[in-house]
Amino acid sequence: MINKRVIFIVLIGIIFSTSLAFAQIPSPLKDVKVTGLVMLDSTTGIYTYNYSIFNPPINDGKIFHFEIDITKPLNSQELNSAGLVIRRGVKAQGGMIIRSFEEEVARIKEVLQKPVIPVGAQPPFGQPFPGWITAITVMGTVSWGGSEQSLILPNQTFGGFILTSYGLPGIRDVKIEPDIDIDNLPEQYWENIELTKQLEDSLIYQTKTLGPTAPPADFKPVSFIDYIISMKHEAFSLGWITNQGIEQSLDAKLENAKKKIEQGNKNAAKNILNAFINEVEAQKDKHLTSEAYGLLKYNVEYLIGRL
Amino acid sequence: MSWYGYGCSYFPPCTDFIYVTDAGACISAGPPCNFPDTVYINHVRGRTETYEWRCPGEEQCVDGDGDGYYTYNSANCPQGNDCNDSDPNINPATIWYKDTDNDGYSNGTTLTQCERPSGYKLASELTSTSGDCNDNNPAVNPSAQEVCGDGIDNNCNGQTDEGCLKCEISITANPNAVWPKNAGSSQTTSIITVSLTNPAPPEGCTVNLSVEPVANSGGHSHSGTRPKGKITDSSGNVISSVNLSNAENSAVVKYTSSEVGGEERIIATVTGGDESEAKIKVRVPGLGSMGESDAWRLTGQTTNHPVNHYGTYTTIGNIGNMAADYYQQFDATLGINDMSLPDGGMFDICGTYNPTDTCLNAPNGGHSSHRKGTGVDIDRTAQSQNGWIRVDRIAIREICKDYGGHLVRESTIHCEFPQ
Repeated sequence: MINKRVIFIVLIGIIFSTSLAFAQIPSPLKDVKVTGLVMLDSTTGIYTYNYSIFNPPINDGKIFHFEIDITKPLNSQELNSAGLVIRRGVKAQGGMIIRSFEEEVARIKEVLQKPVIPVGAQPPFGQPFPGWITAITVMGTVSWGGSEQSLILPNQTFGGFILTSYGLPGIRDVKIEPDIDIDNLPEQYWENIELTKQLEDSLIYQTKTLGPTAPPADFKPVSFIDYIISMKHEAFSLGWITNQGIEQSLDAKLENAKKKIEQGNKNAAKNILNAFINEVEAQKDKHLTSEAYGLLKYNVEYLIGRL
Repeated sequence: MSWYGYGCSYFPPCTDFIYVTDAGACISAGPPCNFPDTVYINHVRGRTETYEWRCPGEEQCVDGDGDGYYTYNSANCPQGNDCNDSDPNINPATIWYKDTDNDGYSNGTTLTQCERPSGYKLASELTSTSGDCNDNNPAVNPSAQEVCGDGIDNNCNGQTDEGCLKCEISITANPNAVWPKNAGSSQTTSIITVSLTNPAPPEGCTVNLSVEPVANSGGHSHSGTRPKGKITDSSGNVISSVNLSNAENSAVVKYTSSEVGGEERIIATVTGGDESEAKIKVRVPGLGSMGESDAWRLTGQTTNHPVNHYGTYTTIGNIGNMAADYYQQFDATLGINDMSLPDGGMFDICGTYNPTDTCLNAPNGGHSSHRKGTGVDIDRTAQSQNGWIRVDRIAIREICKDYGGHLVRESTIHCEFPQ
């Protein structure tokens, strides 16, 4: 009897220690909700994007980093950068580190892999989760990262991640990454660069969110309305438009406006597009999420302004 | 004519000689024993012969060969000891020349004595009294023919195998710089060409090949058996020599680097003959030094590896920016620990050249991620105005990511950047 008890304790010990060694690797993140709101300051022409991140309770990983693609589309306009600042974070001794967009890009110019559109950004400020910093990364993203005291735990939502830009709302890639305790990874990861990178990549959750993009340099109304139509379809497939009837109604208006533009009837097109915006306003937070609302409203307004 | 055995008991016939004293008196019966004179004139024979006359106990001063040396040596005959009184060339003042090998040439060594020393000759017996550069070999002397390929100066002109065909070689390496093995590139080989620079002797030339690392190169200031590159033939077999001839006057072999960065000499030698070498730099290209700054501290230097902060220029920029970002964020100066050695390659932190040495209690010898200049170890403590503070690992991870990197497990916080 005693022997069996000893064996049991030893087995429990082995299982416990084994689980300890491997407990540091979280499961791949799932269903992280990135909510993006956008508002236009009509006096400055700057769009302000405000994001919040929800880490659902099904996850066991703690989010320490997320980044949004801000690479510049091919053949797109060169956007203004006036007034855009990167509020990198709060210093340990107090005060906010602030750089202009140009300063931030200059910081990584030598290694920046792709051109980016000008943005400003800041981490949550005045929130009860200090320690987040923001930066433009060499991969052409704007990133927010936490420190040891400010991870987003499962079933937590952190908001107040701000992005500013003269760029119109578009559909952008966003990657959310959980922390892994590098120091407690199993032995096969020690100094194994590729394996560690694979592990990191396997845990990342990638989705879409609203983000700044640049309109084409050679603006053509028909091409641009096609672009809006394609974004509307993608918004539906992303669940940002929750009612198919609404989606079809919006679609019909855009197609109709396109025909009017092709016929050279700009006033008719404007009227249809204004009706489109009225419908978007009416469906905001009903069958349109904040992402779909911002995406459709501001791009159509931009189109109307150039007809 | 000699008068051996003269003494008071013997006199020549009086009829044959007229003995004249110093005073000019004629003595018919020969001089008395105490006769002190030395000159006698033999008129009978029609010539004058000079003799010294001594009584018993004294010697006759005889100089039969007229060389000025007498047979006997005494107070009365001060130039005696002529061992051969019939040869005027041989006497105590005779110079003998050494010719051990009896080839008619002396090496200039002389002895002055009457008796012939063994192995010595008179000048008149020699072709030359000097110039034999090897007096033990009759085939070596100034009149000998130079023998090709024997590696010796046969004709004593100070040159070896002059006028002969020799194995004269050159060696080249293309490229002369390669990557260390296991540092992220397959460019670890160089084409080695060994060529004859002049016509070869009929028997051809065997060229020995070796690889010698340059001591302390690549930042390794420690002892131990340093791995070095290898030379292989077209079949991949490791070789140590190639054969060249006039028909095939060049050979192409392959050099493959080891894991260690630094400089290596590829040496081609012909036994007893020519030597040529090619240098190969084993390095990760484009590495530079991190340099000092107020924004970071360089740490981790050891006597084994005193220079440990080399990286690609992109990485150097990233690390500098990373440290500056951290300083701005946390008011603390990061400790920049090991990066890569000046030429990259194996960073054998244990100083043993053993890539599997586990002195850091890490598999693969530790520092396997420090071979190509793209990684850096950040010390776990940073220096702030208030003293040392623990580095926020997650913040470092975030800043590392800003520059396209990611953390890798090591004894310190290791940020690895893209190539």
